[in-house]
Amino acid sequence: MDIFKKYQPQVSIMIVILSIIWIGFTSYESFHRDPSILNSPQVGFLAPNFELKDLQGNTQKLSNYTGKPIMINFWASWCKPCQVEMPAIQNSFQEHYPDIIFLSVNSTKQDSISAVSEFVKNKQLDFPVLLDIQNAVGSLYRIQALPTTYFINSKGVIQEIIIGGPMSETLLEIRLQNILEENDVSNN
Amino acid sequence: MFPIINIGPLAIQSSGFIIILGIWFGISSIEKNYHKFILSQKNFMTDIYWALFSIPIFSRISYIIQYLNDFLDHPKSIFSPNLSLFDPLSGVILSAILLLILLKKDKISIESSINAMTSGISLFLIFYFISLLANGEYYGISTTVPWGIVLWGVPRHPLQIYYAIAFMGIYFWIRNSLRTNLINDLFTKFIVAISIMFIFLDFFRGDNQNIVGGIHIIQVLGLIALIISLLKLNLKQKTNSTDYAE
Repeated sequence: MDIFKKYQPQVSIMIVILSIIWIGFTSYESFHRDPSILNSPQVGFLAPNFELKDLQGNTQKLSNYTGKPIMINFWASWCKPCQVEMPAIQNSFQEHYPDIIFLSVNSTKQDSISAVSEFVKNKQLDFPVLLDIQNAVGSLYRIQALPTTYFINSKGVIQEIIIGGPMSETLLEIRLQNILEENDVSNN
Repeated sequence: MFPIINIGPLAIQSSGFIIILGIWFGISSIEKNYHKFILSQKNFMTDIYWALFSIPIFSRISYIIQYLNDFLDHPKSIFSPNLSLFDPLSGVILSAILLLILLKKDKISIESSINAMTSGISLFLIFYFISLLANGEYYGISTTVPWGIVLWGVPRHPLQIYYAIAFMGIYFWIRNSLRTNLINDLFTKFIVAISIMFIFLDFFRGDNQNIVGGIHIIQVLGLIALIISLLKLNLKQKTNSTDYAE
């Protein structure tokens, strides 16, 4: 310690010089790093593509909506928070569609098509309800809790994930505005 | 990623538990050691608790101010328990300002208070980086090193573990300093240590959005903090030796 105190100015200068050299070296390396974004169900990554049939039997593919902001909501008809947040999602759909695409993925492996149909009818939901019968998309997105909601920008990059619920209308509106604003910025 | 705990309608992320543990251990550490810095100042811990409790309130207020129109449309959301309706960074900054005001009001030395909090902050940061590992955030770049962990499809540097280990080292150094009473400028020395750590480790960060032309902004900020802290330490040493000579 005494030696360090004796040579403190010299040691300090040495530390700063080594730090600058390291920053220079790493900046060069980072500049040449592959900037491409991977597909993964995580904020900052490209949303993995999937294909599912909706309640009407139409095939819905995520990649069909490239270029538009998307909200994906994973839910089940027996899940209380999902039931509570559905009217808010329906209101937002009426306000923002077609500027924002709304996809609701039902975890049909732990639900039933008849219960889903009844739920959609009772709540008067207009957005596409996709049936994840094999839980393939749930596994792909590593869904651990219902509801889980993904907000994806127009470049297909996941901007935010909200695990659990119910989402309030305010929260939903703020997140949708955020992905819309980013869309406007990239269009300009 | 660690699991999410489902209790009825609640989906509790384990990272939240780890953060709470970190706060608890951090506070315990401050409580154990603050008397070495501040003598007969019983209000110190009360001020810390006030600042701590104000974090969620300030976080929510900051968030409301940012999205005022949306909250005016749905005023009930002001009291929503949803954690997504908080702005934690603004909350922490405003709470730090509140703490400074409270310390000033109680005539407690701010420098001694910051030094007294250093052990708690370093202990909390160990838990914070473990919570980031639990969330799958702050991950490293892809690697072929044998200790790489598979996250988001590729083996990556376990950056959160690097940081947690580094903060553990810093915490044990601080604990040793407290035992041996080498407590002068503890916080400034802590800033030197974490600046070096961020300068070195930020290169390995895989989710870094703050890179301009290859230059990591965190490294540049770390370098600025390092230079200022080292200057402060050297100037103080010079002043002390001049005083001693006189």
